[in-house]
Amino acid sequence: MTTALLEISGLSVSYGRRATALRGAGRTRVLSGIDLTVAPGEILGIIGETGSGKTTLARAAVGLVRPDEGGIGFEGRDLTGLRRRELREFRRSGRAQFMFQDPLRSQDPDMTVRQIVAEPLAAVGASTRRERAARADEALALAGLDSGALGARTPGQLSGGQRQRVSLARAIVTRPRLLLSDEPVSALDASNRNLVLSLLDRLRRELGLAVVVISHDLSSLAGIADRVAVLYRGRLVEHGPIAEVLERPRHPYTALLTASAPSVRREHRLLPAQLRADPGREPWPDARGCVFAPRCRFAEERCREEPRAVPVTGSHPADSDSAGSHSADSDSADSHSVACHRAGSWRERLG
Amino acid sequence: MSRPDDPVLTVDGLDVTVPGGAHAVRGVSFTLGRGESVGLVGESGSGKSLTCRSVLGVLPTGCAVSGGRITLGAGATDSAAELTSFTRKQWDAVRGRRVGAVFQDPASYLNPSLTVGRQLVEQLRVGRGLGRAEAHARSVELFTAVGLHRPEEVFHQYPHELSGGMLQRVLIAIAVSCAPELLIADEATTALDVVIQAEILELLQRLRAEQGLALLLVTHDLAVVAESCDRVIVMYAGEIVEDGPTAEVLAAPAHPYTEALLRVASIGEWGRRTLDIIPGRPPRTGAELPGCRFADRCAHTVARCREAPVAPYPLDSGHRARCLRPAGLLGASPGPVTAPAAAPVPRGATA
Repeated sequence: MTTALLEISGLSVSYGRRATALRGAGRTRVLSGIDLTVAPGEILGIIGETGSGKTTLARAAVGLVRPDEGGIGFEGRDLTGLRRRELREFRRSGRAQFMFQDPLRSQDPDMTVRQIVAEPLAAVGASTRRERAARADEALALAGLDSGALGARTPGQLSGGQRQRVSLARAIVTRPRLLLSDEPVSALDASNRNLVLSLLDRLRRELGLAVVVISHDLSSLAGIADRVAVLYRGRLVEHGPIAEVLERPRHPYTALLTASAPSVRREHRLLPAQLRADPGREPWPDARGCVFAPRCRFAEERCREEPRAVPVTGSHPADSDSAGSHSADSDSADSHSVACHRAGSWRERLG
Repeated sequence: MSRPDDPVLTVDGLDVTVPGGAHAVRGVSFTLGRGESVGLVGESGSGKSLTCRSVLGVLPTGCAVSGGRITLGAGATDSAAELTSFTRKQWDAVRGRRVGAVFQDPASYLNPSLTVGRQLVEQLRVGRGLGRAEAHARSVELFTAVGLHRPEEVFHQYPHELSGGMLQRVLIAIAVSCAPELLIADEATTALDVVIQAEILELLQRLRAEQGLALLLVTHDLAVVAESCDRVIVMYAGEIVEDGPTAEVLAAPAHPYTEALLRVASIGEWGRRTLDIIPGRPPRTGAELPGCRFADRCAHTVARCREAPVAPYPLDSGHRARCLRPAGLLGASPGPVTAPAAAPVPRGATA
């Protein structure tokens, strides 16, 4: 069994005022009981809509958010037990890096590309200016950019695709083991999207980098991800090898996502309308039970109790991933799990 | 379906210049029949947004229509309007009344300090001359028609209280409130979650069917067009390079650029695969080139392609392409071009 690089177990996070003895309801739970692992050289996709907690999950994974409960192990070290100073040192070490959404806002418009890319090295603090410039050029080359032609330009002089690759170069300049990228390609056209995704794929192959891609958009994972985790309102509703989860979804929400994703081909696919709840239905008493029940076409009495994630039986992991050599060999990481009482039966009611 | 005898919009030889005088849109001609849905596709800089903004009379500062005609309504009838010669006052009788529009960022088109209901009421009172009570009742009807739950509650809410998908529905309600002949959606679903995107696209199709309005869907995503347009117009570097019935164009693209767009588009398959890109980059906006504008990025370019401008060549049933190959003018057998060898990934692809 391969050792996981990142191991998240039972993670729960809340935002808002700290609960007091008198008022406990000041905080909003944004993540509940998340279990996830990422192995070196693996690409994990986290899919969820706005407000599902996917960005919080990524921030928690690198110690930017304090969880209420649960553990975050990175290279065998529990980040939740670190003191403030230790945590800062860990973040500055650049072992786990965050690639930000929206390069136009996250890149300083007055700095040159080379300065932007080299900046995280200054936080690490070890090298000389000349070394930093050389490392920046190396990172730019890994991101498929010509440092000679672009190194002295400012972000305003680059195209959107180039700016996104500058963000990537900046994130990998510290030679991280784990890269978290929040919506790395959703602002790009299809060709540039494929270019950036191919780069991520090459980095994991050549450097053994583990990559977590966070997105609201399934096409941000196309062709490169090994596994996908589907988040809905802070719960992991389905998780497993990407081809299996997205081509044979077991959770009605995952099925709705794949049915809604536009494609130039539409063969043997469900229509979103087959999966949406009847608009005339009685509103679901949404305080308890399955988080998706209020929008689920198939919700019934037993869904008032929260479903636990259970392994999917009758799946065929062997035929789902022909390129499995890159993915983790750990058996728990490769299994397909779903949190739905009706996972085995909702298809019968499609009509 | 297209009914050329009853056009809603006729664009004929449209030229648009950008500041500095460069021609960013060149000789664009197309028609939209009543109730027809047409997709205008291209990457950023292709001129698709300038084309649709010319139709709305809202070109950015410094850009101007320098040639061609834009006619709303059938040519010889009383209601026909030649938009390119319109004064500001004449535009007021067209925008929001005969032509509606929705854009990518709904929040920026609403007044944050007024309730959304009041903004729709205002449009109804000014545009249709309704009284206060009538306008209120009609607003609630419209909010219901665009699929907003609890429309009476939404009526009294401010833009910041609504989600992006709800705001887009409000914008659509405002855009169709005066029963326009034509609705322009410029990247209207790009920023939304896939599930919401599918709902909004379905809503647009439903409004088209119920109200007989023509729909011009401007997008960079061929997959969106594949599912909701009768016809597709592909623009590249300011020109229409191919147009025709969507199913036909997608099944047998005649222009190498369309073919390339199709190769990089989402296909709804999630297993590991090599992702294609379109090598190279488009010419500078308005660059004066003697021949085909795609020649530098095309795998089939021969000397003749660069010698003289390539005219749109009619194929069959309203399908045209601006390419010498399918036109049979290169001596090669006519028919769809074959895919060029997979593009090398990804280093040096641009930059």
